[in-house]
Amino acid sequence: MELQEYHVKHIFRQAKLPVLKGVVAYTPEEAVEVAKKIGKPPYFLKAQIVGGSACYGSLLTPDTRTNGCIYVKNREDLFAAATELFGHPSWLNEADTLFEIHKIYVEGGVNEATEIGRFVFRVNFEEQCQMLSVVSPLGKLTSFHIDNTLTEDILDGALCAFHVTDEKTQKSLLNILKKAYKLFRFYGAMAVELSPIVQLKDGSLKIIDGRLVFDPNTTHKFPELIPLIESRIGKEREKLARENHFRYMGLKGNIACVVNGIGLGWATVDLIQRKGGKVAALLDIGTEPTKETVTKALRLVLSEPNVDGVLVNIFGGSTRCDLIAEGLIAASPEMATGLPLVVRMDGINMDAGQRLLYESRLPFVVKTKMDEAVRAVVKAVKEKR
Amino acid sequence: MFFLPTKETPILCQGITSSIGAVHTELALAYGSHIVAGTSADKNIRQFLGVPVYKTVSEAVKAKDPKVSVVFATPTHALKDVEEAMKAGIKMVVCITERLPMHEALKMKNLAEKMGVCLVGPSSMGIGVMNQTVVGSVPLHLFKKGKIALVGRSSSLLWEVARQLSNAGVGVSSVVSLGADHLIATSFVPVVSALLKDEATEGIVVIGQVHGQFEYELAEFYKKQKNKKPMWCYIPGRSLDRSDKRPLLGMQTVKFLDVIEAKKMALMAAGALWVDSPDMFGKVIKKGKNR
Repeated sequence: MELQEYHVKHIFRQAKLPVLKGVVAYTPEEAVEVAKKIGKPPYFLKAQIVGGSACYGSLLTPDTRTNGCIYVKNREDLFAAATELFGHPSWLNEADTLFEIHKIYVEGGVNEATEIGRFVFRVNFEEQCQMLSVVSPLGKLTSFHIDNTLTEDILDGALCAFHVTDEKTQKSLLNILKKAYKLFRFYGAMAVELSPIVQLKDGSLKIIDGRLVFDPNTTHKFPELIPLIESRIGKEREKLARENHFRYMGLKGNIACVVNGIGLGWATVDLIQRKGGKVAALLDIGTEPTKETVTKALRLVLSEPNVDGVLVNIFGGSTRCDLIAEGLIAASPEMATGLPLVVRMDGINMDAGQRLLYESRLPFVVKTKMDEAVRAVVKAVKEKR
Repeated sequence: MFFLPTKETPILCQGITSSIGAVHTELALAYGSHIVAGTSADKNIRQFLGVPVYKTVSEAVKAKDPKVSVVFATPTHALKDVEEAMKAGIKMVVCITERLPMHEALKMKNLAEKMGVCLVGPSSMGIGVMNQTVVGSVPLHLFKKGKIALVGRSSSLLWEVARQLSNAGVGVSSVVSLGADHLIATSFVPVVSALLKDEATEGIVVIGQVHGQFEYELAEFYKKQKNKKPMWCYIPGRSLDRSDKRPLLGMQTVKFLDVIEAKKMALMAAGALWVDSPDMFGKVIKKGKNR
């Protein structure tokens, strides 16, 4: 879960981290207007897409267009560059869907600058620790494990990794590191990335690009951020999934899957693929579903545009199958679409659950074993095509 | 140190009166678990489901000396509860709470390491030993007794496989859920190590996960064992591809398929067996056992 760059920069600014002057523009004309307010050229124009916009390229060789960022040296070129960004046809986000650009972030105030380096504080899942990684301007990566506090040793090591020797710059850099770490801890974030940090002619440091990756398990503590977190899978679906604590994954096929438990879900997707099908969406209802959330889950996957069939795969280890059945039946008005709907049900109260589905006289195809259910849904979808 | 509990192992249940705690305590008691004490957020409760409820874990330890504690807490309280159990001297704690804030999960894990406590989870669904005991919420009543033990990250897939083995007439001996969240304390090695010594177990099923290094550790460990029991492994997710994310600084994007293939290679090179399809556990293991 990430914010768009201009929101991140706002948070950085409030935390007194040195960011550039910047304003959001919604049209190329507006971009020209706001640039005047920002000051003299050059400018950075950055398309605001989560995970897409990135000022990755070096400052001196601004070959950054593929990342949705254009470095503009003269004010005269600004309009054309902004038009190019807004008009770009194929920005891709994580789920490989087209993304139209509605706003760009115009930043300025860097004339001659040298790169100092980049760094990130993050939770490292592979090594199961908190970590600070520093990348020097020459691209050398140095990482430090953090055991609960940012110690002097780590800070000294980081300064070495940046290859910063003069005392004043060291002091500014330490200040930035400490403030970024404070943000990392405050939000319980998965990552705070500052890249690159540059030094201006007057010796001051500025942050060119920033990322804040939130832990989905802590966002409820920051309700003011939730509306800012950009959707990945279409606003409504994302919102519904989040409200109901579903795990949701939009994919590229045509079979929608509702499961209870993520491991079972991924295994289901594997099996569907082995049997020649493709999955459009995977929704995990979690370990404590209610009748209402099951109904919502089914509605949500049916709202995916490319769905030709649905597989509900439930193993009731702590979840009661009859409760799941009631929830599915309650979503029946949506099922008038004539889509094949296969329900696999095994576990606690499976007989009661399966009986409810049969007695509802709704067009559920009911199975007990996973392989039978997968075969049934793949076959039904193929026949429908 | 991780150990397999028996029907004599005294269990403490923290959060016994919470909705999820109550449900699973009742099921565990019905299975025959030796739950000797509970604690609750409601300090006025003295007894629940016939189990004495104490104000603090220390009091419960003094009165009943439980050897393992199971924590049913909300994500907000889990760290505090686990810490309380560890400080009261309990040497194995099973944390059922899932979706814990990651910084807190790390703190919990580091604390357990420092204090020498075996923390299973967070996001574990517990430990179940057939015809002995349930710690947490393993639905052993749905499975048949046999000689194959299961250990894995995702509980839902563990239940699925245990059911397949039961249907195939193979049956299960123990089921250990380590937790599907990114950050968990106990990895495969201590559990497999205990299962290799367990007389009721003749073979082991391992359900891995794309994320983390635990499968590599397991491969290293298993390779060195002289007294190997057959070990069947599977990792879900090879057909999912989410590799087009913009990676963080210093990280590389890797395809799930590539990670799973690498882990498969490591495990097979160590002498483990691989199950290709998640519906084949029953058939593959039955065949393997008859050979």
